[in-house]
Amino acid sequence: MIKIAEENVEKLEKKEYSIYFFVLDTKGNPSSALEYIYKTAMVLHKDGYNVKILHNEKDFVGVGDWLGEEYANLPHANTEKENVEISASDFLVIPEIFANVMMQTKKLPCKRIILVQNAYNLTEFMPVSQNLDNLGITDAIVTTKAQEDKLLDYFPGVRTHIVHPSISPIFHPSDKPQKLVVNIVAKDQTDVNRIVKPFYWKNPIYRFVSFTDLRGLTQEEFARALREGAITIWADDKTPFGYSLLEALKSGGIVLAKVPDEPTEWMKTADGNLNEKILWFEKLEEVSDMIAPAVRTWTRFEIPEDVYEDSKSFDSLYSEDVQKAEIEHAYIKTIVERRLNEFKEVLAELKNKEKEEAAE
Amino acid sequence: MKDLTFIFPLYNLSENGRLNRLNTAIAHITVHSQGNIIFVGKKEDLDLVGDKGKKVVNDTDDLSYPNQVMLALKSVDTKYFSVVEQDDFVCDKWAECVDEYLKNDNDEIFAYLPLTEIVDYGTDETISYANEAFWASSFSEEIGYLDLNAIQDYLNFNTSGGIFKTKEFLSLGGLKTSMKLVFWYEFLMRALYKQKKIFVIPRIGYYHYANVDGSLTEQYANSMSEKEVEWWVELAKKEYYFPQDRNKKYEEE
Repeated sequence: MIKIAEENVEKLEKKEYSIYFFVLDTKGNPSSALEYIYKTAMVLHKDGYNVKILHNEKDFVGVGDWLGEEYANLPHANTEKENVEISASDFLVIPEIFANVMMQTKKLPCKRIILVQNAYNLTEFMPVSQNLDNLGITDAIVTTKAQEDKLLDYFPGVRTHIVHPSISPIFHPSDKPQKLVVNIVAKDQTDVNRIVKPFYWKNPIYRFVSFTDLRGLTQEEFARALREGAITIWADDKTPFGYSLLEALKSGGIVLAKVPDEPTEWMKTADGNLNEKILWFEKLEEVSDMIAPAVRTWTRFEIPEDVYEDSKSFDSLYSEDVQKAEIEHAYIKTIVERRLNEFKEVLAELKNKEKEEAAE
Repeated sequence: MKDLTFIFPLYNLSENGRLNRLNTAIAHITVHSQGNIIFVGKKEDLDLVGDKGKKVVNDTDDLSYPNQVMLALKSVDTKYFSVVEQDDFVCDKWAECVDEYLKNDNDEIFAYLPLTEIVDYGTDETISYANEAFWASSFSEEIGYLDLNAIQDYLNFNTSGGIFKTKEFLSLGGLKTSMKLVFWYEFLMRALYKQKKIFVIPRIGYYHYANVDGSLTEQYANSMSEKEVEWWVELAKKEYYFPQDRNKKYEEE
């Protein structure tokens, strides 16, 4: 036992342990939630830690097409086909959607951590008979204070660590003149139709205004479209964070945003009200009446300068540097350190016990 | 904008408040033009504009628009030129906007046309737009750009306020002075036929006044039958293959 404990202490001290991230393959479709996991893995990989992406997909597509080869080249393993040896000094990060994986991995010796980007997914996927306590999960990574509050409301005993998402620096304003294109970031075609068709019906004089549906684009294409388009409409009621809204705000265009069901902390001011620096609308039906004035004012150089100035206030939010520091703090300085201390305590206890036994 | 010359072809300047509108347009342009303005017209019209720019006297009998432009071009020594109609209105942001595009200009684009707002002279209300269709999805092959197929049946374009590269414009043969009504249409088709790229700046800084008494359009409307208009349009579609002016004349059947 002492030998095993010593080996684990040594592995943890010498960075010889592995951090595994379980992922859901989105079959080549861009996903902010998946990007978050890959970004975390990449930070740790670049810091010299052993990371591996785990999946159980027969026809795994991965993220190469939309996130880039660098991410696709992170070590991957298919748990259905490959024998992944997980030891007590390893860590397994399980997204909240994988309640089944949390149950299946209950007996593994490693430290398991739940990653919660949308706490509502727990109500969707976790059976009522289960909870984090009986699954043996004591630590959770969460992306926002709101997610933390929700998780603690469900499972008060879990230790939470906030690691905010980051917005890639590829989202920035263009140094070239923008195009008269209205981007739409919406979850489904129905919402796109509810925006576009009434606009044309009500404003036949503006039939020359083009709309671009940004669904399904690679990250590069998405960033370019946001940068080039004069106006972006954002409508995603169920968003747990609002990545694409922030990406649009950082891209320098005029952004019209639908108030989501639960606005994220960055969308609000200190007093809890919606940030008025964002041009909000409540219902999809309202936006078709907002587009024409927006197009008119943009084409006629009448957008007040403070609209652009206001959107600059979002530039510094959620940088990759801050996220990197939070990842290193949460994963390495907190969770790994605690695990190491736990092993050291066990080792000390075992050695004391051995001494006591020898003395007797 | 040292590299851009604004050309103002003048006619009947003393009528219908034209001089006032011209002075307003010049005031907005002067801020950015750094003196590159050329007025072309009869001496009596040129006398009215004072010393706001270079003057090219048109002492020929041909006071047509294309002839005035081609005469003025002989005095242009900048990389770009723009023709501004004396009946039109240019807002103060337009020159600034053009400046931004020209700073980003690469050699790919031959001409920049404005997204023009057509305003009724009597009521000052917006009637429609010109050049706007090129920003509609699926209208042209590349959004924002003119193409030969797209303009075959599209005449709602406006070249006034457009920015052209002087050397390329002249090497294409310039405007054909014998052409009536369709001189710009024919020229644009000729340029597109020669693979020139023409982009529509999607900003409104150039306003064209419609229904102005004595305007060029009104003159054509009064003097041409529908049949003649059709004849000129069809002629333009045939003549753009030829760089030189073949001096075709309309004859009543």
